[in-house]
Amino acid sequence: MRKSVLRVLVVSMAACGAAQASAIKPTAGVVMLSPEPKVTRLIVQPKRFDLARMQRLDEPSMAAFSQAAGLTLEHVRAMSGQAQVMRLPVGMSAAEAQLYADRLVASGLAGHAQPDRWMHPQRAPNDPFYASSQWHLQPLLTGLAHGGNNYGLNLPGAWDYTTGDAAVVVAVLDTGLLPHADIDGNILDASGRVKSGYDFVSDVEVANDGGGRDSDPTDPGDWVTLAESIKSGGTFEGCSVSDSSWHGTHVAGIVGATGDNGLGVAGVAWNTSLLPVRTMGKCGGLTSDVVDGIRWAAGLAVVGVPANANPARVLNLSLGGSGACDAVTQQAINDVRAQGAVVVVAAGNEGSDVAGFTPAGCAGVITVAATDRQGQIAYYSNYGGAVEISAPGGDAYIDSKIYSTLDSGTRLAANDSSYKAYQGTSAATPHVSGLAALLLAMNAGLTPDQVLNAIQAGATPFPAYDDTAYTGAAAANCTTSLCGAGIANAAVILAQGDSVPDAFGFASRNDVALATLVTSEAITPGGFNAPATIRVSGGEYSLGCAVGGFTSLAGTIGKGQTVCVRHLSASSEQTATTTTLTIGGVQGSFTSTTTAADTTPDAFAFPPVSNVSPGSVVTSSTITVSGITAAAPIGIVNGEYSLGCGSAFTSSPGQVQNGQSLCVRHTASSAYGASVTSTLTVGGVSAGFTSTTQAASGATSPTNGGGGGAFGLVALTGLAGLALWRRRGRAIR
Amino acid sequence: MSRPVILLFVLLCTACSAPSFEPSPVPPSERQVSGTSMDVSLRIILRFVDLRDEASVRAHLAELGQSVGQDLVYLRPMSGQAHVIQPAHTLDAMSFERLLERLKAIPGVEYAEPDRRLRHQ
Repeated sequence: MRKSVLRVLVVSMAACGAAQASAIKPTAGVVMLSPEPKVTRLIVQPKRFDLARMQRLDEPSMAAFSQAAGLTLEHVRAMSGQAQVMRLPVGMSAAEAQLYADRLVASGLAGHAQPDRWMHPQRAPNDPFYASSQWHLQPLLTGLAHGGNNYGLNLPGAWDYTTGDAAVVVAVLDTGLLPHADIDGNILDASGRVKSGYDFVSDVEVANDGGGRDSDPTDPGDWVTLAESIKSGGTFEGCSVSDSSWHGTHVAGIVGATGDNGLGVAGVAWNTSLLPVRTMGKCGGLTSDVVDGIRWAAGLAVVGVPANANPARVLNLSLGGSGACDAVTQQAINDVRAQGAVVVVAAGNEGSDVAGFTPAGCAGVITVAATDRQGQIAYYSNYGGAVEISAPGGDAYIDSKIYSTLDSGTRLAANDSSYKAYQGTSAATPHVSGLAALLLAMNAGLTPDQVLNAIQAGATPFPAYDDTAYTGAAAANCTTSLCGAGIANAAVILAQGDSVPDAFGFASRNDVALATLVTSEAITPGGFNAPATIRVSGGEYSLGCAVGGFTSLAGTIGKGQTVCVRHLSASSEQTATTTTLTIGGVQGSFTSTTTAADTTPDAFAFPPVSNVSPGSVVTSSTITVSGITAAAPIGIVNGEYSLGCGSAFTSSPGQVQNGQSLCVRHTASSAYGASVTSTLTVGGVSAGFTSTTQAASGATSPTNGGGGGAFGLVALTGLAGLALWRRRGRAIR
Repeated sequence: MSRPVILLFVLLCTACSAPSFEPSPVPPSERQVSGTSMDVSLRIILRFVDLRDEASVRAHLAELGQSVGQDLVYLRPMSGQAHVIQPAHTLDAMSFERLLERLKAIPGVEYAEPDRRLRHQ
């Protein structure tokens, strides 16, 4: 079994379990998954056919697996898919278990091996019809005989990632919309989930609301009477006699009926915004109106129509007509694609090659064929090479239709917020539109082609039933040449496209030096599995933390990559600098704060002088202030000081910068053998400068450290100062 | 060659060869083509290479009608600098198809497509 097949199997098994699981109650659109418990087992698919199928692996076999893995493995049981479950000796993270699994594969003993990861109850909305009727949204159930499977959109796993984003607008180009309790009770006030739409039906008869174009996209009903249908030359000649379809309301409900509200049905993307664009009325709508609606929905200008304040990223066209794609429609599709809009269209219900229909046969759209609950093509669905993807459309001949919002009025609306099941490629299409909205909710930067690629890459393979009873005219196996890449699978697609990491951050650093390059620790963001956009502000980042790899340019980070950031610290004290790293829309920051201002200088001292003449002015030696990072206050007692030791001396308080020189002076005692001391204080550090006058008789010229006799005490003071000066010599220049 | 000269040239050519269409009473604005599928209306979506605004197209519509042998009525401008027109008289399917082909053949016409009816699926 190939890895991808095994993965689908595991996903399917998990999804099955989720059907009975209780609902998770998130508070926002994106659900934060709780940390996984430790992995205790591996799922191993032995390469040897006999080992793969054994119910019990013997000791020699297990010894070989243990040796290859590098730790003791114990056989637990055989499992489906020709795989074996083996117990690890200790619990470990999934990433660590994967390393041992990789060893088994690398050894050649296993064709595939993976951690036996814990599966969590997945989100299932509490809407009553979800469980009872909306098979088309429910988890996959595959591998059973025809009639036992469920090829739904597999949404519960996807809803663990997101249930949509109001910023993503899905335009429903259809018959209009009715206020519905399960969508929006007032579709005209623009305050709810439904944005202000427009009625593009220009023909008054077709519009059926008494006028042509207007700003009210409410569906007035599209019933056609027998008299209208048979009236020769009439507008509706040849049209099918029918009650009002409320088609747009049904389609809108599939895209985004409010989920988990305990009411009715759930939509695919129940937090997305909806934009009703009425392009069809009685018996359909004209290409010219549809084309105008397409452009307006995406935010492009339409003559005579106010600008659309809420351009849609997804356009749902559950409509079509015979004839190959015309230039008018193709040009409109090209125009809106250039705006970044994803155009999702119905393949059509004629059971024919889709190439002969518009807009299904146009280029640049996602054309959706319809499948039934068993994963086969619905009997009515168009098919062919122009189909990109299939989705549940229902097939009453096989099992059931698609349940969604409606109205019970046969002509005029009853406004009773009812529900009903329809079938058709019209119903399949909004499944894919809703899925596109979920993808864009996770990554708004996806292009239309990227959305299509993601949907196709994660699609469920079509089943191939052998029983000819299920491969006749009424039911046929799909193939990729008929029905696109597969059946849309929301859980797998969103898991593949999960480029939103868990919350992350960097440890702050304090007391960093001024104006220096500060680098964070390396982190490995987790919780995402698709390459994510990475960008930085206020600094640089490096993938792998290579010193030479720092950049400020946006890039892409993959799962498991380490990253660190750096910036230049502030040039002033106690100032914070922050670098913000954004990965997949999640921001983490790194902050450094510079050290506090230091105004306490290194110790300093003035050597004393002696034998000075009484009454003379004595100046100290010069010191240079060091060890401060900001201006320090100066004060002096009994003397004066000079910054720079020039001629300007003062006794007033002042300030000194690191590196500046200082000296002090005072007038020596007028008596012989007497001392005078000045005390200079810089930033709280004090030092004395002492002068001692010469003795009364036999005096000699003044010398540093001299003195004695009757002035011995003063001299000793001076000697003590000299000793201190020598000990603190680093501060003296 | 300037555009008026081209149109005059086409007018002269087509006036000689184009068969006259059978006129009938003016139809409702959205009447379908008689004798055809209900999916084809009598409307035509037209876009010129260089005539983009409504006034320009209206000014040349009579000349255009003469060139294709059929009076044309301007209905409304569309997005994408296209315009919706229709013949002044009901046409049968074959005549309508011929009208489209003649419009497409006129120099300066980027496309002329039937305004087909689309239905919900």
